[in-house]
Amino acid sequence: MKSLLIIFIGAIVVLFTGIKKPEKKSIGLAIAFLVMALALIPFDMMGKLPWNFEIKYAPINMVAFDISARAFSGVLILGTIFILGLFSGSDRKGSDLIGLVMFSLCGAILMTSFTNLIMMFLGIEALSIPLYVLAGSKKSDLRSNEAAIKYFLMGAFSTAIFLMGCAFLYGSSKGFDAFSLHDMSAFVGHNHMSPPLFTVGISLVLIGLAFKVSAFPFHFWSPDVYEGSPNRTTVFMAVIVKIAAIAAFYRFFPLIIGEAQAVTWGTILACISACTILVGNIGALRQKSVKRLLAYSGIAQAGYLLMGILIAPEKGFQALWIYSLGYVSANVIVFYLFNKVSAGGDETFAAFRGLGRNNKGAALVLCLSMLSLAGIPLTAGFAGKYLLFSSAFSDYIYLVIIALIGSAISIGYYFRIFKEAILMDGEARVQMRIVDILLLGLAVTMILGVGILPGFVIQILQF
Amino acid sequence: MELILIPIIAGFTAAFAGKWGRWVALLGSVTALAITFGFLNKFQMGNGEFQMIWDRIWFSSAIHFKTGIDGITMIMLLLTNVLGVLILASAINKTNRNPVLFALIVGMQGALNGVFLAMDGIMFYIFWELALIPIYFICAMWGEGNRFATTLKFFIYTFIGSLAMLASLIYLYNKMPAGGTFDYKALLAVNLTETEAIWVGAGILLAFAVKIPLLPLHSWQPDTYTEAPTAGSMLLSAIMLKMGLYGLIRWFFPIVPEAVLFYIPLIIGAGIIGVLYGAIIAIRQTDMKRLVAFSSLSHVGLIAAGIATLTMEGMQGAILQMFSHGINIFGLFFAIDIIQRRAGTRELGSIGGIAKQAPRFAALFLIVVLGATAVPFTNGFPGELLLLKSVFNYHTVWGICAGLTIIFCAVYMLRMYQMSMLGKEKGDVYLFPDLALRELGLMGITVAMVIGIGIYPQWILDICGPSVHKTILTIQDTVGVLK
Repeated sequence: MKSLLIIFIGAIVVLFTGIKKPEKKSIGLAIAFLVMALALIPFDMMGKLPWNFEIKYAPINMVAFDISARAFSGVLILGTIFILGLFSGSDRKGSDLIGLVMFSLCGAILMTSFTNLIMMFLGIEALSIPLYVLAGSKKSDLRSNEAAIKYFLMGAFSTAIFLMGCAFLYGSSKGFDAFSLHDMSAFVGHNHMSPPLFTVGISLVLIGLAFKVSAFPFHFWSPDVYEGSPNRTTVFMAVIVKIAAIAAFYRFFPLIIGEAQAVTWGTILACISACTILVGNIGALRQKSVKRLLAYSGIAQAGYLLMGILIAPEKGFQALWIYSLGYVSANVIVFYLFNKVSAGGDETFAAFRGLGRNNKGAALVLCLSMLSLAGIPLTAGFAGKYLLFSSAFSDYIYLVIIALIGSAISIGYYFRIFKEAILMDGEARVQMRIVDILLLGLAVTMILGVGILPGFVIQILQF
Repeated sequence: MELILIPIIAGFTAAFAGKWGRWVALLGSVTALAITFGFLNKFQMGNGEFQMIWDRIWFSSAIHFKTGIDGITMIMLLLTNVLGVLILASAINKTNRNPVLFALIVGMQGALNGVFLAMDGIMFYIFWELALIPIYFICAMWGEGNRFATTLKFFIYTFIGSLAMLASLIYLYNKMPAGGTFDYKALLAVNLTETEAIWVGAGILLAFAVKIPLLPLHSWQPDTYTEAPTAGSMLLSAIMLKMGLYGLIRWFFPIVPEAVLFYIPLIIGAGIIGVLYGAIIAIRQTDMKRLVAFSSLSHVGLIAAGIATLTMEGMQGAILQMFSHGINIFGLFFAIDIIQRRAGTRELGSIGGIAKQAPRFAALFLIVVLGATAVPFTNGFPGELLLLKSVFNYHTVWGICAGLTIIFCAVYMLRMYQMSMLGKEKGDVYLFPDLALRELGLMGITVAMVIGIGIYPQWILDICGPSVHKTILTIQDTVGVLK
């Protein structure tokens, strides 16, 4: 809660102090606020709720910063620090875009901590509205405008569906809070009923969330939007929006659907997850543009992340957290390097050519993040995948088999990037500032640290 | 532990050490060899159990970092580290100055040590995958021809295989009561029905069969061997494919003894068909590297068949032959590399008469060729003899088919030797200088090992004997009806 306030205040401060300064001068201040917010997370325990979903939430609390909320907010804030630090601003006057990123982050944090559908809705809106602007922030670029319109239409559409779902749920259980909805779900589950209002309500809410994580069959917007948006916005969508939506998804299941109906909705989610994995991985194989490829890879990763929701809450939480740490670091590295090498305007794979010869360190880091995304051992990606797959194995064996096939397919496209970067000759060159090197070093430490010693990292969660 | 870490650290250091990189890599590799000899010194002969166990909690309480050495592991460690040093030394020449190559080779040595030392299922899987990364880069960066497509095919083949193995391991873990672990002994103790065992076994076998390679999963192999750089071909055929064979002995049969009766005929059949198939195709090859690749397919098929007989002779012969085959194949690839660098080609039709120009090279090369052909008093003979005996005992017809390998092998090996070394001088061999000191040393060591093991193979059998005996007993305990 304190971190949320600090980020919000920070966003306002950055917005007003940066009116006349070039954008890149405000980044330092923004990062200072974010670091402060990150440092406060361990102390941030509103309501002192321990890790236990069985505890009945007091209806007056609309948000609860329990362990899962704090852990996911930590990942989100860290991701935003990476993004702001690595994608340095332009010379343009005014820091409105940075302010918007921070406002959007506030929405993301609400999505990780809601106990009430209203707060979840607020979170989604606060996350999305700044993003509509950010997607179109390259005003002179036609594709950026196209992306903004597409994202806006899709976003508005999915929010409307979500809101409709909330209304149905209210109609069936006379409340927006987790408390009454959970009771309703348990009642429905134990009596083997299927009241239309409640069932339709839950489905609509899930559809709204599926749009945000870009899960099949609501994934089609993401390649176009990713391709058109400016790089900083794309990576924000790929990293922050996805993790926030997964965290919301993750919270929604035990909190509102609960044990009683877990199997019914779990089966549906398992099908969605399997399709998402296949569609993402197969779609990525034929892409020529790096950003579209990363969009499809993001779809596939969303499929893996959805597996975490099917598992028992505590295990699922650990797996998702580990996975999202790896996902955030790897994606940030890839987008950063892509942003640098594509400065000349070439957005295909060829942009990476020659990186291995000109910048050995950058090429090594790129390989590492690709290996992590592909899930090769001793990287965070493997630790996350291992935890997800092994926990889901006993109940959803077919899903795990599909996920394994998906991983095998993914080698085909992740390795194409290193082939270009390491084996081909070309002009790609990256000039890094000291800040960039520090942040990349941190990201690499996270990938390797989580990958080599995941047991140690999981213990951090039990403080 | 140190056997795994030291080479990997040496690898990372070497990659950034510029022109000193290769010496750093060599130092790491030699240190690992020295440590291996230290282990050999401490190793208690006649004890079939795991010794020198090092055990720490790694991922969670279920996954440990657990290493241990028994007789079979000891032989594999010797093979890996001796050949690791030799391969690294053979790659250090004037034309190649990129430190990354040496870094990858020595890193690979560490990963392979991890594979052979692992006593935990997931740890085994992790190092199994990790060994794949350096070899991918070695082949893709320094290979020739259509290297990207070939190496990607190789990688995807093996990756699918290992994912299947991972699925099987997780299945076994889920069969355990709460609090189970991936420990080797715990995995062995899981009781499966026969159907389950067949499926679990299929997953594990897929990983190993791709690596070995057993027919019909061999299609990645000839292209990869041919297009890989020499160091890559050596690593792949001399050490990496032994991972698959070792996996059969250590992981596959002990874990799914319930399915043994189902899989024995399959593996022996695939192995022997591979023996004949590889040999017949090798006879027609003109590219020397491709010829050796197919000969390797043929030899390995026999080793796999020998393991699958689950007899003392078969398994011990297999281990002996794994060691000898590693040395021979190193010698062959090294000799081919020497020819290629001096004559500019390795096509059999376009060279000839090298022996006149380089008599020392010709003599040493001949001994290696004879070793590969399994002539008595070379290292190929005792292993092949034991393997053939075991297959013959299993079934006479299979035994006779497998016996043909010696004849075929003599045909293609001697044909290769004759066409390249003897006869009229052909191609750019008029200025073929004889071996330089470094090459002479490496060939000399190889030949010394070829003859040494040929004369006294018993020491290898002594080291691995008790462990093999114990492994067979473990399997028989469950099956009870084996011969």
